Amino acid sequence: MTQNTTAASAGAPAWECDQDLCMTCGICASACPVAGIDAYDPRRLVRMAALGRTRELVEARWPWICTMCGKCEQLCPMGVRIADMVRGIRSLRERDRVPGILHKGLAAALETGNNLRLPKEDYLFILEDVAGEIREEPGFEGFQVQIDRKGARILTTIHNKLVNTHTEDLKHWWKIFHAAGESWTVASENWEGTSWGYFTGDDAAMKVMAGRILEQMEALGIETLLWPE
Amino acid sequence: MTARACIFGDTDCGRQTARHLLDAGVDVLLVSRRNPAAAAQPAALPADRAGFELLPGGRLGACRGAAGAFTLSLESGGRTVIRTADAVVVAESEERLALHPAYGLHPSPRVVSLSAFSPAMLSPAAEPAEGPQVVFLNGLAGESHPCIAAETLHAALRLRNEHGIKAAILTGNLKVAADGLEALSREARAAGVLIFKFAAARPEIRTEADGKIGLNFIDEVTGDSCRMTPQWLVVDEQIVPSAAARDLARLLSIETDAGGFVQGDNVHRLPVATNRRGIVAAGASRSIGADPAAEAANAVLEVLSALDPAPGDRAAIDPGRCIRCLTCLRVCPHYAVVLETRPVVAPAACERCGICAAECPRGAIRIPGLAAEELPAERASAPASGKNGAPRLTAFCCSRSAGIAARAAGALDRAGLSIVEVPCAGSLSAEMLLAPFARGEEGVLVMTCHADNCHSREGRGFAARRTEQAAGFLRQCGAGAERVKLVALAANMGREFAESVAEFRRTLLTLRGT
Amino acid sequence: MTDQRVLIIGGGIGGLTTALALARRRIQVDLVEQAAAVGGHAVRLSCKATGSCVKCGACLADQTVAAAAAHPGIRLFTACRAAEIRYASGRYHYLLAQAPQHDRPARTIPGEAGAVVLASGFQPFDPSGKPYGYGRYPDVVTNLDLEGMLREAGGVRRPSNGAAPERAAFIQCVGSRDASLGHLWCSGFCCAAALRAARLLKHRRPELAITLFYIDIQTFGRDFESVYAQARAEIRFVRAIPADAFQTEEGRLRLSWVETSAQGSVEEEFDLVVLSAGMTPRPEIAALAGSLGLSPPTAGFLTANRSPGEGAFVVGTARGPMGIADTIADARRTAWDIIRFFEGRG
Repeated sequence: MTQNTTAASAGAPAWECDQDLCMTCGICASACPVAGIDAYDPRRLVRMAALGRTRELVEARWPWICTMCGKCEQLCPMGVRIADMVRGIRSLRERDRVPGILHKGLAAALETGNNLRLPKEDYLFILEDVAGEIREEPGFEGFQVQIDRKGARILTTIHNKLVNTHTEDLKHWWKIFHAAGESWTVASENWEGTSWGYFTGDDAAMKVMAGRILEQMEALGIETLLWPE
Repeated sequence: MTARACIFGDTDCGRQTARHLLDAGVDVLLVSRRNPAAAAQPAALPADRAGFELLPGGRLGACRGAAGAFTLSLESGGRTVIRTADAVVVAESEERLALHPAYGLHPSPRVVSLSAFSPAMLSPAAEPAEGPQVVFLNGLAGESHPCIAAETLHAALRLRNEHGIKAAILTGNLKVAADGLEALSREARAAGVLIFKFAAARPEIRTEADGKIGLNFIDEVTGDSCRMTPQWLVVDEQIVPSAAARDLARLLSIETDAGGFVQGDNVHRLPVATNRRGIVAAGASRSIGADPAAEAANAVLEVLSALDPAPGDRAAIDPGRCIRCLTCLRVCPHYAVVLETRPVVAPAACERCGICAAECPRGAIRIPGLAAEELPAERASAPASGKNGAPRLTAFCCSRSAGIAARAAGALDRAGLSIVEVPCAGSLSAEMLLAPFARGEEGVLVMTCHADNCHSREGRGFAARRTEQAAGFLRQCGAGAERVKLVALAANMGREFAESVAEFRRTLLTLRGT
Repeated sequence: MTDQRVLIIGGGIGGLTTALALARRRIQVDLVEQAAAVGGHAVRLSCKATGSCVKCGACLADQTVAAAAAHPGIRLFTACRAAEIRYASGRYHYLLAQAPQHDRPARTIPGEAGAVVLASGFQPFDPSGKPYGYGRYPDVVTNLDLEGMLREAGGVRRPSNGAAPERAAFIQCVGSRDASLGHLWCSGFCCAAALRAARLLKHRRPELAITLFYIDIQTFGRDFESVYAQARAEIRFVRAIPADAFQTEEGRLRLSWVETSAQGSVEEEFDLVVLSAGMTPRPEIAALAGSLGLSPPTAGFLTANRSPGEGAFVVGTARGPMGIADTIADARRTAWDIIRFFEGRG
């Protein structure tokens, strides 16, 4: 993927933009956790797409407000694939114009295996540091972080936030595993558990990211994936 | 003697009604405004059938008489034809009013009404355009109807599918409350027909001198200003009863509803009865979009039931006492009193409501079983109330509403209560209302239908007036006007019946102390 | 023709009206109703009169029940079902199974008819699966629940605490106009019913604030234009359907919606939420249709109203959503079709 191309193949929208199955009941907007922010409204997006105002949507800032939670799509009585449309619109934007953090993070992940360009030794240091903190808590004295453990039952990915600003969340997960006696592991490389390829409509990038995780699972002989993004 | 029905309206419904009536052994006179009555209809004219007569180019001039003996003065080709009929069916067609004026538009080759529009008009092929080339207006000037919505959706869908032409529908409430319409509207949207809805504001529509059309509006979904410049604008229509149907309603004294449809909106006329026994309203003259076959079947059943002698004795006017004041003729809501040398009751038209008997200033009208002394009373089993006992009272109940409610009044305390059912509360004379007091009772309830729900149109009004009269009399004697009370109850108000009685008892107990 | 008999399955307003129309033409009727009383959904409806009649037609149901019960040509079997129906040489041979009643033990009644009418009605949509908390939050009720509440002494109260509601919401199209459920139909009756109920609530307690959430107001014809105008003056109309309801710690119900993108999201609390649940087909009609030689249902309802050449007929909401007036017309039309069928005219 070069910087100034779009993610969509041959520039074709990934949805049927010539139809508007929407009967404007508004359930999608009522359900949407971000409706109203930046005047975001799923109905508006569906209608503009039906009107062929694709270029405007691609240029607009507000389609990037959507968190891809999919509640709109789940509740739509007419079965309009709203989340797919959002992805389709995002896929049409030139990659270097994808909102900064998403674009840079994804590029970093593709290059280095994680959004933060965090070197492996720093990453491992953080994991051990967090594990050390857990061991200080009563009942968790024997805690060990499980890295690249072959034959574990669960492989869990790590959202980059969890080794950056939100290490507390990492602790919660690990403490649960420990208390439950779960057989688990994290990867030492390609551990990133974000779906920014999915989020930006970049299916090719998504494929690379997902492929890496699959490779890990195969290499470690693990059948269950936990992807707590 | 063979009965005869006169059907007005050479419509699909009228013809089907004629065929069924002939099958049922009823002769038919079909009066058609058209001459010749040749317009194509799904059902053929039963022209070859014995007992069938067609009066082409005919219209009603006047109608006398009542069910079982109507005399119709018909005008046809400059002459007047007199015919008798036992029953009359109004089965005229609908008319359509193009709503151009409501939108401030003038009809033009490119601004056409829905029924005038046809995709064939679009040849030569429409010029390529950015937006929709045909815009349909729907329900933006008054509420629309599923019939109109269906036609609009079909037309837009055909444009899209068969001619590849983009169409948009600008609508208020999209009326899809009919069989298959929701699916049709989805099909149209899937095919790319755009539907814009307006809750409050309306599009601004301009036609330029050169015939160009411009629509400006705020799309309520996107909040954006939109401009469309279609090549054709299709204006919706309002469906109204035909002039023929409206004339018939007037000449036959039939109630109409707010839209002028024959039959009116009293629920007791459903499905095809009117305020006059023996006159039936069917098809497009009474309702928009009714299925002609279903309407015809209903019309036939209604005619046959009008031809059956109804059980029970009818009102009779005693010629010796009648002073020909014609009060009965004026008050009868069913037009059952006809004027011969003196007023007489047409038995087949009388509904036994008793309004005439109660209003007759000479007491000359009698309905067997309905005189004050004959009224069936469900006498209270409880002994007459003593000083501290339950008050004795009578509840006069309209048999169509409160009478049914009384039977469903589960928690009703019947001590001291007499329930007297009457066919209509309008049959209660002030004398009847006061009679229970003469027997030592303490109160009278007059329980009627709600206003606009009375089978005999004004029965409730008559009952209200007589309740006032009785109350006035009680006030004058110092007995307390509150001892007689009017209550409106529907047939499904059993609980309210019991509550009304209980509340009235409390009033009566209070009055004892005064 | 006097020895003809018709079996009617279902004692709602459709079945009862068919029965009366046939009996008045001197055709004997056996009517089976599985519930303990006839009348169906229509007898649960409340009169909506606000001083004068508002043409809801609810009273017609009670009048029809009274007339059918009194007619000597109609045998009503309640708490009863048609256990067996067999078609042989132009006749329907049936066995009715009646549950024990207070005055008699269970029994079976054999019979024979020249025609059978399927008038089994509709199933009100059960909104428990929708995220409005029906069945979990006591103050979320359906339109049919509200009909019952309107008939209760002392007026409509919040089921949770018996208090009079201050703010009520109606949510239209719950289970209707829903392709994801396979319900690609408008139930037709709910808009008029909600408007009438809302106006009655307002009439009884003018201080009650009512919001009606809708997609398209479906009522039409007759005096609707003026009723709608009056309703708009009394009730707030919002063209958006809330997606879900949440109960607050104070026990009120929080709804949120977006009417227009420009206005953004609105969140308000209500203390009574009425879900206008639509009509759905009854699950057993496919099997009944099969046993009577009727075409199988399309989208759940029986669209064909009779079996070709045989004496099986379908009436009322088993055919699809319709209101009281249309059901009555459909029932009488079917009665006439049966009379003609008996006369060998089709």
